[in-house]
Amino acid sequence: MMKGFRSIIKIAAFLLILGFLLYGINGVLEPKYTLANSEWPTTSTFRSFYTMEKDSVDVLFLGSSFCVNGFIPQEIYNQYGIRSYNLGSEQQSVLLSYYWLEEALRFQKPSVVVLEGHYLQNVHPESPINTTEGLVRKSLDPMRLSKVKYDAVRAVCALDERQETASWYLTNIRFHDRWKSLGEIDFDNGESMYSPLKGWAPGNEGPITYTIPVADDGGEEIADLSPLMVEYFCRMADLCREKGIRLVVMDVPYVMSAEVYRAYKKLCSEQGADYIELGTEEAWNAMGVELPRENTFGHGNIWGNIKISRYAGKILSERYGVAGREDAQYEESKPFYEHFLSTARLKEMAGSEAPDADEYLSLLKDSRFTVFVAMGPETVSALPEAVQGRLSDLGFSRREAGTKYLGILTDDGITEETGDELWVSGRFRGKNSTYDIKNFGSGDGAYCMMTIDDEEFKFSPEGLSILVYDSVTHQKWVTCISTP
Amino acid sequence: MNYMSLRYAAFCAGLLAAYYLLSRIRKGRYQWLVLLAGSLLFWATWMDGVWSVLGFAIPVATGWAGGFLIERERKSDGGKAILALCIALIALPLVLVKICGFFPNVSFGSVASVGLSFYTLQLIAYVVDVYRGKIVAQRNPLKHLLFSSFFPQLLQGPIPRYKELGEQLFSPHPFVYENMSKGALRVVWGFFLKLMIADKAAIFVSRVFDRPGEYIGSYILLAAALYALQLYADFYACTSISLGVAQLFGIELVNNFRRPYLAVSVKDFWRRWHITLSSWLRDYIYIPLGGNRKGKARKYLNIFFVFLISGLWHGNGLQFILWGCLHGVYQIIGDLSFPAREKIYGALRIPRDSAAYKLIKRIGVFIPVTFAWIFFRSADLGQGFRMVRDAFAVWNPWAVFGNELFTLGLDVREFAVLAFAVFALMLAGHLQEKGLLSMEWFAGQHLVIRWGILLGIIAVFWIFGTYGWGYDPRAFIYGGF
Repeated sequence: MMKGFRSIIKIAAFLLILGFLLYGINGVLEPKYTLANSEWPTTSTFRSFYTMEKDSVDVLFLGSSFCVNGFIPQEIYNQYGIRSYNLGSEQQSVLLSYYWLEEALRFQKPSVVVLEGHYLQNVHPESPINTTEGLVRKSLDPMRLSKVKYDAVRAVCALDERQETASWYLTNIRFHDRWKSLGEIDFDNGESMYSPLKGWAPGNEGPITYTIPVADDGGEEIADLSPLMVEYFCRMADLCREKGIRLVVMDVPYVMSAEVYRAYKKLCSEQGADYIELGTEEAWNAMGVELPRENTFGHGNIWGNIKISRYAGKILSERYGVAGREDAQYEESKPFYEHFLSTARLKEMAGSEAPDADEYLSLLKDSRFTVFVAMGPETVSALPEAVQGRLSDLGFSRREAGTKYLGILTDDGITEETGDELWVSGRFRGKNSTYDIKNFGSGDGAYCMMTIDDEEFKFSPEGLSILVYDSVTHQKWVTCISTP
Repeated sequence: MNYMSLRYAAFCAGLLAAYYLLSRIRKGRYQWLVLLAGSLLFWATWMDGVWSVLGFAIPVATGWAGGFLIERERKSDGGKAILALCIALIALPLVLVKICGFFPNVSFGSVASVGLSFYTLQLIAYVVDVYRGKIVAQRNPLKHLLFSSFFPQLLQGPIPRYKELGEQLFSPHPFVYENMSKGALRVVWGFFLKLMIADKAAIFVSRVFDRPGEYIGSYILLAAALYALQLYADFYACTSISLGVAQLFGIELVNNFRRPYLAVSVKDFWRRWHITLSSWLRDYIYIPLGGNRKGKARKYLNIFFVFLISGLWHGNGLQFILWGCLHGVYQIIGDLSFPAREKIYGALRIPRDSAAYKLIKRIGVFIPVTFAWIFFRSADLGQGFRMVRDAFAVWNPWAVFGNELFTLGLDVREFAVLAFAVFALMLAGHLQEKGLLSMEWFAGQHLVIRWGILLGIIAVFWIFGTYGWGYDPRAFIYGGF
């Protein structure tokens, strides 16, 4: 009897160890979408949602990539003190948004839910659930195991035969091929797996010179919306009614016909939801968008996203009476948000013909940047005092005229500084990234090349060569500041 | 429900719980009922209409009723006739399936019940053994039904004899931890072979064989060599899983493989490949035909006939018949040329017990066997001949060293994993051949080693295996015969 009992204990222990092992392997194999590798970093945004204090979010944004880019909870907090969270994801259809709403309501009690409504239309007719297969996974995989996830998986698998129920729980079935593309991020379970931006990801579109305003032309025709999306919108409306939440459909500016516009208005009116179209001329003017820099169209860019968010914050505050309040969770993430504003400004300046050296160098004072600087002897001699002063502020030492210069600023301070070496190489970012810099010759024979993680950047022989590496997004960009 | 599915795993877990709970009631006298219920349930998941039920029911009922009729009459004049009638009835569904295969316009309904090729031979052996007085006929129809449908071996064998399996099925089996441990290793090893070798190699093999005329020379030769590995790994995997699952229930099935590619002759190959089929052909066809007792010419005729039957059994198509005949011819040539070859080895001073001797012989077996597999894998006889022609039409050995090789479904990393898995299989085979690796060796290891081996193999195929989304899951090849 005792022997049999011991055997059963042994088998149970083995199965337990096996379970942990396979769970760990599946965790590595599952794709991760963070600020370092994705424009819509759902792994980090959804994971961070679960770290929010209970009942500390007053407004929820749900929707597709337009939503993720368009609504910046931190900007809304900075302007109005409203605590919001963006639970959008790339191609997140209304069906997926509905289940994320259900999931969110297990932890938060928002007074307003904003649905970005682009996916009420049948955007992906090739997919039975209006979202391509991989992006359904991107949206739902980060959801914790719960009854809500079980229901969501059941719904998705019932509608889409490409989906396999078991693969949602044994994720290796879906991601078995991932061993071929595993990277640093797959073994990282630290800070980078969480985004302090409350669900937002910056839009990366360039400037735009035009706008296509949405308008009701007075006609009577109404476009057909996706029946499945409408069904889930109605369920969302019912859920909000039941919980005493105000449901608002808020669309970011994008191409929309008058027929679709009327269909949205009609649907919202039938379901007791408000419809706010930000693509109308009236909304456009109210936002005060300045073209071409502030792109609000579709994914837009950070400057356009700010305008949308401020306007949304104003509506939430004035029309829906969402009160502002101080919250440590939002106060703590302010510097991180500022870093993104700096990054956007730096990239904007790097793309201009004559970047303002003073502003550019002042923005580099951020420990999340690694800065590589190189100059030929002519540039060192001709370096204006103001620029030299900014470089000194960053920690780079002054050089005598006629010598070459090469310096590296990391989060540990200046780690490399030389005037003699023509060629330096090494590691930074906790030895996870490599650099290789060649700074040869002078005058017409000057040559400067920087290689970061196997990516090469060649510089103009004249001027102050700067390469910036952002440790958050792993993005690199270069600029060359000319000297008189 | 196939042997690789999660549903099958859950099904087995449920049955195991019930089986060992019953071991405590009346000393396990009713445990076999759990196996019977499980086998019928398993069989039902594969059932495909009334005809397929008949394709199963007729041979099983004939085997049961015929068994004790033959037992009673076997010494009388009518005994042989009853035996012949029983064999005819048992073989009827299989014969009909074969006729339909060769003559597509002829239809007898879908009598091809799952495992038809296997239980047909099993039941023929049963009635013949009863006739020969080797076994006592089973009177209990339910027990006979269990013997005919035991689920771990239903799909792909092995083909057990009643003497080996019968009493094991019906006798009580108390819970033994060692059975769990050994059974789990066999199942895990089966998964490794299937996911790491068979299904990986299948991607390349299918690419080449399913597009005849597109690839020539070395591509076909490499595909044929990989098919030799795929087929072995696939069949061995299924057998290993069958043996493992049976062992979890305390039942030892007969092993069907003994490292066939280490054979030193084609005759030796058939002692190691699909052993239960080979021994069945020997005991129920070759020996009754006279075996080697009636002179050399008759012996070779018997060998040829046996392999013709083997080819017919394996599939519906002339390519299978040619494949069988090729093996018959290999054996005859091997037998005739043996003295001459031995003289050559002697002249070259290659001792019989040397590694070089074995290596040359093994290569000498692998090449013709792989050549025959080209026909076996081809869709029809015509394609088989075209593949052979295209394989030797050009001399392009550089093809297997170039990057183009990695565009045929397996990239360089997949090939590396496949090579590692094949090496692991070869190493295990080599150690087994030397007697250094066995189930007993495994059972004798410390718990940490045993668990480490099991967890390691599972982790490897979990990460690197070929399965899941985006892949066409492949059924076991022999399940289709």
